[in-house]
Amino acid sequence: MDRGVVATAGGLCALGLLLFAWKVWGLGMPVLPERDQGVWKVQLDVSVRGQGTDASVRTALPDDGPGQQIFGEHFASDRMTLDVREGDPERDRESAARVAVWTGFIEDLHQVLYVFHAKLLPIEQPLPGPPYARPSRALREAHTRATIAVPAHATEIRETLKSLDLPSPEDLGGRIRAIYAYVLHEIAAEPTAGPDPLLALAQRAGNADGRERLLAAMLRGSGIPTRLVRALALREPDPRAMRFCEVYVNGAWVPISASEGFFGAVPENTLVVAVDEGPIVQTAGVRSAAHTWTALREPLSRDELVSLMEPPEPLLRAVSLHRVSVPMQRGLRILLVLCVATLVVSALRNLVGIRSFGTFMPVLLALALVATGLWQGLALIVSVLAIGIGGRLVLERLRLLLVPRLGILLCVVVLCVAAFGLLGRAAERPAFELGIVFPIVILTMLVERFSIVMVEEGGAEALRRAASTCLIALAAYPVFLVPGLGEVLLGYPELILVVMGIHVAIGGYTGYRLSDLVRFRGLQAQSEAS
Amino acid sequence: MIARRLRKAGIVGMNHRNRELVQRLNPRRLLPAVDDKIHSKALCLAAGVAAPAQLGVVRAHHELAGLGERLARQRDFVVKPARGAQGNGILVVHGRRGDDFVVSGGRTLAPRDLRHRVSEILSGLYSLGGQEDAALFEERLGVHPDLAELCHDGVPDVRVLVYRGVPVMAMVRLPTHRSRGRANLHQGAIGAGVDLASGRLCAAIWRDRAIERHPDTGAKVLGHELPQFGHAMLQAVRAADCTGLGYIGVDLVIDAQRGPVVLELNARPGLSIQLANAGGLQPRLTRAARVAKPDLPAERRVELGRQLAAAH
Repeated sequence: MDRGVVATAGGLCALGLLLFAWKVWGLGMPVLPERDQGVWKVQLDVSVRGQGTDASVRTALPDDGPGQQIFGEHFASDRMTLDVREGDPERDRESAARVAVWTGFIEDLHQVLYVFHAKLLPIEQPLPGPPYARPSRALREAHTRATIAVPAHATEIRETLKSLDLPSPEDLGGRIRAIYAYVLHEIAAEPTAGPDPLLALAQRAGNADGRERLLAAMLRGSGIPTRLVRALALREPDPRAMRFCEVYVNGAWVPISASEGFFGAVPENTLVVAVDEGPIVQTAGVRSAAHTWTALREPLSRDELVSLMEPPEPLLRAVSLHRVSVPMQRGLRILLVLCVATLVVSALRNLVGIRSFGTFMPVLLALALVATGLWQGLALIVSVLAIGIGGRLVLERLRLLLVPRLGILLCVVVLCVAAFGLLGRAAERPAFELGIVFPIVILTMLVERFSIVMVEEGGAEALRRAASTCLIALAAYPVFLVPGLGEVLLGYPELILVVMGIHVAIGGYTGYRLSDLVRFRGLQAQSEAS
Repeated sequence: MIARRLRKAGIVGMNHRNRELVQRLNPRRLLPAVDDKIHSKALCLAAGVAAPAQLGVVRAHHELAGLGERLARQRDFVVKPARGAQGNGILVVHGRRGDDFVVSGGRTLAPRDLRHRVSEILSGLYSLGGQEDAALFEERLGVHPDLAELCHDGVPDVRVLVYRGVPVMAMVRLPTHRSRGRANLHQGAIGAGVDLASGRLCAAIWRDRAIERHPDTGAKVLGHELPQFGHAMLQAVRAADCTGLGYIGVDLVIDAQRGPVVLELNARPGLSIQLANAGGLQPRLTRAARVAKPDLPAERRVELGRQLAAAH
């Protein structure tokens, strides 16, 4: 094999594999869409009783972010008008919050519905190590101030912090850990206790809200930028509302929670709804309001799952094949697998030396077999061949011109396929009806080639060639059955470069084929004798 | 294991032929002229190479109606697809019985059968790639008396492999009863290697077995000397020269009256010639590449081919 071929083949394979490796290990893209990779359907029902005035219902909407993707949103309400305010993606997550506001004149009971799908991936953001950079002034001011929910500058907080004997301000990590440990171990979890952080501190016990707010207050009180996050711990059927803190360290928001007991990693199936201290659902001008969340693990179709596999990188997302429409994706998946199947043909023809009708006819036959099922497909090929050859022999007597004769053959084959469809229906074997439309032309060509070879080189040769065509088709057939191959190639089309590289290698191979060894084996013996 | 011994014997495999010989030495743009028999015949005639006389060409279906009249005075002839491959679609008419045509194997063909056959050729049934084709009518060449005992039916043809203008290997394909008059090894013809130096048959195979005698006539094949073989090589070299191809199979018939006549050129000559010669092609190609100079006169290159073969 010459150097150019080796270099090209190696280069193509390496390029394809490198791109693939970068996307999988570098960007953490999933190789395959997993059925249980955390796709949820979440529903929020808000019921409000009006009092004959203008009223509004405001709810924070979850947004795409690290570890979560929101799609398939759907809003419904019976009389109120909806206004969705998209956040400004240029600004940080907090001020960029999306909200939905329903407004209208309501008198009696009304319902507001918000349904969405969420794909969740585990979020991990471990605490960065020293040295610690000082956050910007604006950030510090925004996230260390005291609010009603987080009374960071209360005297009790300040005194507690003093009594804790915290590590020096340079050891930011140590300070955060010490405060976290204090709230986690010294403030007991008491579901019946109130949500007030100062009360929780005084009683050494608080409910989840109280403890979490206390944690935030103490962190802020010691000068560490902290924000509160509203989230849903998704489970079937009703998710649990929860809160956790995020502390800002070296440019990253690290999730920690005293009430949920995590530090640096959010538990699975946690949906971040809003970075907000207030409640998720707020109402105004109503007599009473109530809301419920429901969540279901969503069984998604293959196509929907595949279209969730968008790469995280914007440039890659722009060229991702998942952007094309779902039917087009389905077609592309088949075509991409077809590329892999051509390797089988290359190898069998150039390394083994099996002759077939047409170059890639076996691959198309294999595809037809996938559509019809193996045995039905083979039966179809054999019967169509038999009927086609019979038809050709009859037509032979009429001495028709070639193209109309081919046309008649095509008609005969179509009628046969139609008959098979009926048979399949009668036998309640729907596989027989499926996907047999496109191989018809291929089968007709097969019949024509077969009958030419039969006339020119004899029936034995024609049968041998038909058998080897089927053999190659059978060898290529399993390629189409590899589970998930189409999905992987759709996500990572650069793997086709590897296929091309292998083609280059096969194409540059000038050694013997297996068939050469058989054909010339006699010459080898003679040369040895002499 | 086998591969190593084959390499030692200098056997050329299919992949090597396709990539290193056909693709490297036969530029694609030159192939259409060789694949089209009408064109290549014109090339040969222009270069002074003997070729079968052309009786006529049918290019369109409407010409079929007048075919009977055009062939009325012709007792025997051959019909070929202009762009056929591997001898497919060739019909040899030996004589007439009334209006009917007697073809190889003693079968007869009514005029309308012949017209159908020609129409198939025009539709591209036998052509490379199935394109529309033309049918070529040529004189039928006779068997040279020196070769008569070596063939049962049909006409033996001589294949000379010309590599970079030098004849490197040759074989004769002898039709048998089994091949029904056809000179195709797949179909049961005998392939016999020719010693380029002496023009004598040096090895022969029939149906994948080495043989010494003709299975039908019983005549001794090995050692038989081909008539006018040197002249045949010269014709082959000249024919190869006018195509510009570096790896070409020239098929000739040694006619009783006209001597060696170039029948057909093949831009992708097969490898069975190695089987017929019971030896590999590679050593000869290597040596020919070393000595071949395109500006040498054809006679000198035939001489080179002889010397190469003798040295082997």
